[in-house]
Amino acid sequence: MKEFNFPEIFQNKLRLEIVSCLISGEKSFRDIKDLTNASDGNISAQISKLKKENVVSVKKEFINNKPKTTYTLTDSGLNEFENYVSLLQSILESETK
Amino acid sequence: MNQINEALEDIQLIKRTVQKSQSDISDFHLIFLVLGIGNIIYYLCSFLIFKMIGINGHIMMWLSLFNRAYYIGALVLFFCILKKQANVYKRKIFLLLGTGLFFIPILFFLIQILMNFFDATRISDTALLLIEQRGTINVILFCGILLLIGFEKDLSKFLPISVFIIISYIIIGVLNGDILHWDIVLKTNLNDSNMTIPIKSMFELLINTIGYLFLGLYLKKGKELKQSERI
Repeated sequence: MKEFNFPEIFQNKLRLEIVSCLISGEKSFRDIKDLTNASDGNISAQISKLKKENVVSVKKEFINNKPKTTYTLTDSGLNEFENYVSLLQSILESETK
Repeated sequence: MNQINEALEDIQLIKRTVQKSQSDISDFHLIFLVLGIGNIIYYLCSFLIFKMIGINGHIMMWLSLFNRAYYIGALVLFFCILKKQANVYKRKIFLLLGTGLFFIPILFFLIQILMNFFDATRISDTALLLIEQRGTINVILFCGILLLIGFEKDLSKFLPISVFIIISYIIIGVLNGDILHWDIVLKTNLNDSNMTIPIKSMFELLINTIGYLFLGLYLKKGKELKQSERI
């Protein structure tokens, strides 16, 4: 049976969850926390990794003198995610053949 | 086999997360149902009490409390939905909707409370005008809510409906002379005396009851359809 290579960036479940929740638009740290139920430290670590790999971009702004950070999926991040979904599909299709 | 399991697991995780991050305005159906049904009960009870007993301060006070109770219930529901919403853009839309739905009734409620504490001569004309035009404001508010939902769901359906409501409301007002101070149209016999219920008020009443009820049912149906598509 053919062996598929899973991209390293999506091998972590939390990273995959973060990217999936950014598909519907930009999210704040709290939004991501609400959606993933992960700890602050864990989310920060995975976001740093995603940022380093240029999958996620960070926007920092001040709203009513309060800092607010929002995260968005970059174009290359979206491409990588789409490629990963295609890969998952082909894995499942290879099983049905 | 291991890779297949992993692929299945990841696909489920992606699907679950994407769905979770996309909760939409349909979640508001319960709020509209509570407001629609609550308003129907409130208006119906007010009418029946007025017809059978006449104006009774004690009963009216309980009815007024009931009115506040379902609004508070709807407000609690609103905050629960808002808390669940993780999408920043949608949260802003929801907040806008909530401001329209709850801020204006709360404002009217506060004005009425303040009016009870002060002598009628000391109440500003603006406050009196606001209370007087409460029905008109409610109709405009309902149309605003329709448009907001239209932007999220299907503007081609909601825009004509809100335009139709506004135009009908203006026509009804114009046909009866002054749009702001409209006169007797429909007469019913209550407590052995003629009671006048202007069509303009009936229109406002229908918007506050059937309008919200239909909106709630429409969103509920949409949500059920979406859920069945997911299955």
